[in-house]
Amino acid sequence: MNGGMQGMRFMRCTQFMAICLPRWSADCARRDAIRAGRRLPQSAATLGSLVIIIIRLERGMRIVAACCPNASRAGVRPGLSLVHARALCPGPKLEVEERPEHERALLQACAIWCQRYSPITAIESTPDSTLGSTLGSTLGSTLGSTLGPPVIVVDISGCQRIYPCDATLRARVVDELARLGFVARVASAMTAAGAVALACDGSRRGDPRQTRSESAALAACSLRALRIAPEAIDALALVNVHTIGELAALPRASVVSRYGERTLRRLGEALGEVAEFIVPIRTLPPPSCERVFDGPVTNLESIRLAVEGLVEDLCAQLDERDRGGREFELTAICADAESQVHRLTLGSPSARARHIVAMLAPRLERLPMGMGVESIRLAVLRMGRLGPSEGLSEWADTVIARLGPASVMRAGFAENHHPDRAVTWLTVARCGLVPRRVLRQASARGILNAPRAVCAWRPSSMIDGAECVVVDAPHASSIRWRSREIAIASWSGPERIASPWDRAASTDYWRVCTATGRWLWLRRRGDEWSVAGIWS
Amino acid sequence: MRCIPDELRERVAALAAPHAEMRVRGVGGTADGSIAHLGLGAVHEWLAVDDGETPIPRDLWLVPHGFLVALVWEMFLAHAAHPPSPLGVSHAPGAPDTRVAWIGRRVWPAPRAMLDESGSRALLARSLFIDARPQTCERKHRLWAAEQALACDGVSAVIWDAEGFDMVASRRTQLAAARSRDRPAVLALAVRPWRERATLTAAASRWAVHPCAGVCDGGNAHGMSGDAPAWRAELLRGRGAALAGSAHMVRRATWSWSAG
Repeated sequence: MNGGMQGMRFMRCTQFMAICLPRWSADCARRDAIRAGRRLPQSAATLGSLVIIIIRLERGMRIVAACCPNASRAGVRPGLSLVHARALCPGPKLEVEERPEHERALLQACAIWCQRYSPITAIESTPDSTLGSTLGSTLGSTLGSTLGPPVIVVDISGCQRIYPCDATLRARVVDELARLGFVARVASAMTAAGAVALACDGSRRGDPRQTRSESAALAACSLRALRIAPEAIDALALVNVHTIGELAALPRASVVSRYGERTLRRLGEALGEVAEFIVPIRTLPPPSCERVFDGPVTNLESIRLAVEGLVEDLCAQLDERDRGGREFELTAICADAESQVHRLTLGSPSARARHIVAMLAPRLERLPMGMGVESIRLAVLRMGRLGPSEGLSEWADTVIARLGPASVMRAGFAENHHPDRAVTWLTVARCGLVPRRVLRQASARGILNAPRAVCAWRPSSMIDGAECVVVDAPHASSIRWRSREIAIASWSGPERIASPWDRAASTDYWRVCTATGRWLWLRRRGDEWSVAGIWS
Repeated sequence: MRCIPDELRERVAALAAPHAEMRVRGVGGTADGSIAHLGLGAVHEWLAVDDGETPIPRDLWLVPHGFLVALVWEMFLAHAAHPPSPLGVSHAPGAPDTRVAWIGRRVWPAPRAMLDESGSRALLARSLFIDARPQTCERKHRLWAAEQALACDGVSAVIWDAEGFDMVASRRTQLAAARSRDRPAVLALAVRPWRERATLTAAASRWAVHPCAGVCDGGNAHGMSGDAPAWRAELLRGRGAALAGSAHMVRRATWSWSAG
């Protein structure tokens, strides 16, 4: 074995990171269920305990296509009938239909997301191009595809200045993917196939931290991690070859004839003896179009018509991508002056030409043309998925265009109990409308199962500034507010809210009910009393 | 002397209108409650009674925030009780995709008061708050924003500050609300200060919201046991057409929402 591994010729200038997604199908199913606002079983209180079964319809029977490790531990295996699987897992579980097309699109999106680490990312190619069947598997399970879970390869060569510590980068990737709802195993190596093998190897034998060197780690990996044909793995197992190191020790000439060309090629790629080509994912540039006039134009109507044409072209491009524009940039190149750049931000992505033209119209009227406009360019700076509530978005845009960017707002919460700091106001012009999926989640969690009670422990009207009142003592029968004596029927409290930095600055709040039934929220800081709010 | 016509007008309005009351104690209620009886696609005006006992600052007139929040919650609960078919897209009031527009800074409730007791932000996530204050001619912009919101498909409830709206302005909002009947109708609620209680408008109904003492909520999860804020809405005036379907509410002297 050692003799074979000593011949490894790693390309010292390259470095690849492989991101293996071992529970891809199950993670996708759980993520989709959460995004759709579907109520997960009670056992999902901790994500680790959720049982997920992916179902496929085959010859009229519903069989298990993939499952999560929790189901695997209970004995569920791909290929079992759903009835059998239910018998093995009697508790609550999440059963979803297999959606290979959707998973493929999600994997593509995930690979594009990984471009934040390096611009060259690729989805590990498989000899059978049926990615769907590959995605349906979990490592260690015997699903239709035997090549293992999907893997994203990132070329991080030359990124050492940005990510000086390899382990830190790997940990960061794992954390960020976990935040998105995906379990990932990440490894890096000097070859793409080597990184893939290290990431895919389920056992910890191939962990470089345990084996000190990359070549030793690679040698300890199982043959399955090399993603070769299962027939070759079975044939090699007959001659007691189970690891990459043992395979590397075999004479290369016999490997091709006995175990196939792919086996030798994957081995060579992993060891750096054969060049490996990855096909990076290419993202399309944002749509843009330009209109050049024959000469400088000063007629506003002509410019308006040209912009209408540009918007229609742009919307056609957006339609092709099934996307809408959220932010646009209109650039007018003038004959004797600087280029005029105007930006338009919409509340939510839109591909409706009429609406975009209406929003751009006021900007065109303010366009200083000077000696004339030579050309006009319109580009989309930010795109997004088209929402169903286009009418709502257009209404918000119209109000923003007339009343200003701070005129349409929505409320968010800060993690703070202090009443003055608990709420943050977000402008729709900047933060957009609340996505539909968030509303669905809120529906599923809130409205449909809401207790029939509106929150009554915070006042509905807050009073800005200090409205001082005179209170002799808590539970007094009356208070004096603006020189008027108010009879108090009941007191409730105090509720103490401490300042996060200075505990001495804590504030007590009391709910008091006046004799006429009006409820006030009194604040006491030291000896000073004031009215903080009213339940109006 | 200037008060006499107002008093007379109030008395005439009180005699002409059927007498009805509605009690809300900061809670949503049964799904067959208020919304069906309020009449969608028509403007309903709400005034918080200023009894003079609470000396609030001069620029801050009382807005029945708690009552309005309870009403909108009720609308969503009514929809939840009768959800659309799984395949159909619902545009009914309170459908999950629709929003609530609060127009005018005065009618914005405190966001914390829009949660339910379980902390659900479902209503808050649907709420959009329109501020017309930075502009000059605020009243004109409030009116324009209300009309636009009433005409928007994605908005299921509009609550606006109608301070200073005269008959022409209220007629415009009433027409905009009535036009929404062609599509899923909108819950249109206008809020006025108590001092404008005698102003004649084109609204379908006008309600006065009184504070109500002595309602016990049995405590809550936050250790605030005992009484809860409560309100009683009294119908000051109403047009028969808009309240035709609300016989239940009109005939009974009191109508209360109670915790389910």
